[in-house]
Amino acid sequence: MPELIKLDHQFLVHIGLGHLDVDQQNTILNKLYRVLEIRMGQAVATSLTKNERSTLERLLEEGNSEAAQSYMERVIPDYAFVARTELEFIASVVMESVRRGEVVVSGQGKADD
Amino acid sequence: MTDLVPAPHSWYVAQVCDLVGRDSLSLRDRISRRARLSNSYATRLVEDPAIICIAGERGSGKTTVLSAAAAQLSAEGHLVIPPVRPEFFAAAGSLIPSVVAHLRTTLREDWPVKGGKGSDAEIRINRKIDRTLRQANLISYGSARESSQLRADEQAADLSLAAYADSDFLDNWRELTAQVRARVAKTSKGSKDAVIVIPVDDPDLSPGTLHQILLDLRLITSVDGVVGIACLDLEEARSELADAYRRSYKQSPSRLLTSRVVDAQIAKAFPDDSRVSIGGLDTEDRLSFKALDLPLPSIEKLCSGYAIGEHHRRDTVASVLRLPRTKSPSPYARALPSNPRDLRALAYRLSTIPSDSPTSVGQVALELCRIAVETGLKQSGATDPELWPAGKPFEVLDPIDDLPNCAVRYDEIAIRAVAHGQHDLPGSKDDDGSMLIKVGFDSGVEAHLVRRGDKAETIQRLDPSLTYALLLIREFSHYYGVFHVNISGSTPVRGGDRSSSLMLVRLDGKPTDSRFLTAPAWEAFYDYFVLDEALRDLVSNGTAPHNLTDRRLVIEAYFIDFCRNIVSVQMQRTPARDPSRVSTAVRAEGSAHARRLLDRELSKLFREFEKCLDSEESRVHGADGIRGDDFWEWIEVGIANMCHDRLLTPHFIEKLMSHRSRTLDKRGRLQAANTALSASLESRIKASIDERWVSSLIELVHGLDEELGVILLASHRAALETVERGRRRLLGEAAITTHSEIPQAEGVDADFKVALAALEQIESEARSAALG
Repeated sequence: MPELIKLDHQFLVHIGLGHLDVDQQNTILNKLYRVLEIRMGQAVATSLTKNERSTLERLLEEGNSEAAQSYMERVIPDYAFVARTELEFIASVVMESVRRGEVVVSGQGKADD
Repeated sequence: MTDLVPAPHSWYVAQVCDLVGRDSLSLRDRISRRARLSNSYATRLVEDPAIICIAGERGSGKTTVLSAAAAQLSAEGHLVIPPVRPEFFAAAGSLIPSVVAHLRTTLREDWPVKGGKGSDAEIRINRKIDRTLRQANLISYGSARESSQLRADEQAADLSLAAYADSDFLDNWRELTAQVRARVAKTSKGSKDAVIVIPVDDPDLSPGTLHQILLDLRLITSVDGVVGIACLDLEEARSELADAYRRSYKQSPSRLLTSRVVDAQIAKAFPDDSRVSIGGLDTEDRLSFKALDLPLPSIEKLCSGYAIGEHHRRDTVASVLRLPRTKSPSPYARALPSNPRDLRALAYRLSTIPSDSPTSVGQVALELCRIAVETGLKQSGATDPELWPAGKPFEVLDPIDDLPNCAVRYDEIAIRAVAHGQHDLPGSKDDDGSMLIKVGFDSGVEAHLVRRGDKAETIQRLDPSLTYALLLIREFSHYYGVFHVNISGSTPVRGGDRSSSLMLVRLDGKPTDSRFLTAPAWEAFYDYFVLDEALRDLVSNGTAPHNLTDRRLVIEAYFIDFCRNIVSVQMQRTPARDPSRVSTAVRAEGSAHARRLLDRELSKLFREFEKCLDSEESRVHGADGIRGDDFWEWIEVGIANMCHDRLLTPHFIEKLMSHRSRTLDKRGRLQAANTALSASLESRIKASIDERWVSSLIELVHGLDEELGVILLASHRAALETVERGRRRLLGEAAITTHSEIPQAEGVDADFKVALAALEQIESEARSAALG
């Protein structure tokens, strides 16, 4: 099993936001999680065929997350790499924006760009 | 000689005779040879009785089989004593004296010189019988419980005498039977390997003596060449043996132990390989049943003497008992009793109803139904009045307007149709395996006894015989109108009310609704039986492999054949003459000409529809013309449910709707029909609004009602978007996890503000990309 991505205080330190107070850190992590979810969803969805998506959805709807994860590894062998790539992209936009003191227009709406 | 009785009982007779003549190498013989023991001693070591059991419930024909087998065996040269009937003899409870006495009587009838001394052999046998009879009576006396009047020493002496008799009896019995068999073998009619056959009828009817009788039978058949045949109801025997076992203990043993002991007793007395089990008659045998001792025709013949129905059809009461095409018994035949005794009673009662009275047919139909319900209740084990606190489910009442009358309570009986048997239409999968069509039909029904309160609770499932009996009442009253029925509770479900099992369709890997292919909601169930019969042919031909390039042509042909059969059942209550004509022809034509064939057949179909719609006859049967109304509804709404471009080609859909419009417009019904169809399609679409397959139905609605079509299309698109968003979210969740607890918080910092804004920007862009 690939190493899980961990969104925690250490990650925020890594992207230069370790100095925020606890409440602010939690808010940022929450938002980060939601954004990653959306971008991962798009990335994975476009990689699967119709049947593969149906199978995966069925496993998720049944609550069988372990089977869903195994299935994903099988049909998208590099999905962990995709997840890290997405996270790195998001992290880089946030870091650059914080450095500049303004939101950087990413111009990247799709995860597979 | 096995034709003494009709089938299937003649087959049972043959089984019994085969078992009697069966060769067997017994353990006793092997012990006797190997260890060189006397036969007498070997018999005491190994019991080895020879008993054949004819098992069956009361009235199933056991005695008939026993009597016929006895006659057959006698004709084959065996010595068969007359059947011993323990319920009649007033002996001390032992079978043996009766058997020995019967043997003497039987032998004497064959001795050529009556009244004279007889030959030496006959004298020896007679003396032997006397001695054996004395010993048998002593044994019987010893096991009796009536000796308490004697002094103790007198009782002891008697018991000792009985014990000696017991010990000597078997040797005497063996010698006697060997002499008798040798004598029989020498006679002109005797078989070389003659056996002595001892039939015993209904030993379980003699109170409290069954156990002793079984022991006695085992004893007397343990010698070579003696075979016992016992008739009994095994379930009742089990019950009696269990009672006797429990009574023999001061403190009754547990039910489990009792049951095990009784099972062992039965298995020892009647091993499986020596049992002939008489089951109930199958439906064909019930229809052709004729009582052996009454000069009456078969049940079917009796019923066919009463005409029923009017106008174009002259049915008889028997008409609903057979299917028109194959002539096999219809499911209603299952409502008839399966027990010969009950069938005999039915035949007798039917024969007493005069045939020339105006109410005869109603009386006969009602009597048939009454006996069918009684049988059904018995088969269901539902005769206990406590199961029917509000009253019996069926009751005959006083006539109304000279028509017989009855009451049926459906308050506690729920009847529903059940479907079985589905077959794949060939080539019904898309290239990616996403489409699957199953077709089939089986109009089985199930009835349950239900307690209705806050929640309906099933108490027990009722036997099919009762279910069909209740539907038979509806058939005669509602379709033919030959007697009145006062109904309380919900009437049985109409076939059209159930979700259709005629065609199950999967699209995009998921089941769709089951309303593509429907039949009219006929009130009487015989119509469904007839349609089922037609569809058996159609399914096997309609699902055969083909070489057509577009599988929708196969579905179109199947659809046309289905409709042809519906029309035929509606008009004639028979299937179409060639139920699968179009399905077969389209495969022979090949793709090039299939289109033209289907166009022709579709036109022909609608001409049949018109003939049917205009016919009075299609409406007259069924109370209040409901039958005709249901058929109209099917034409107006039902058939259009098939119009989906994954099932039928756009060309066919267009032609179908065009024919429909023309047919209905001619009769001034088009507008109302289109409104009804739109409403029906709208409900289907809304029930599956987030499924892609409904888009074809939306197109159909758009053709009927543009405004409604637009609204449904917008709803459908919105639903799809919601599904898509949810799907992407689910997929995202599977890829990552987090260990953070995330409560909301107030308070900002410049970096915090910018970081949050950047994330919101990314989120916004991602959502836009997802919708795009």
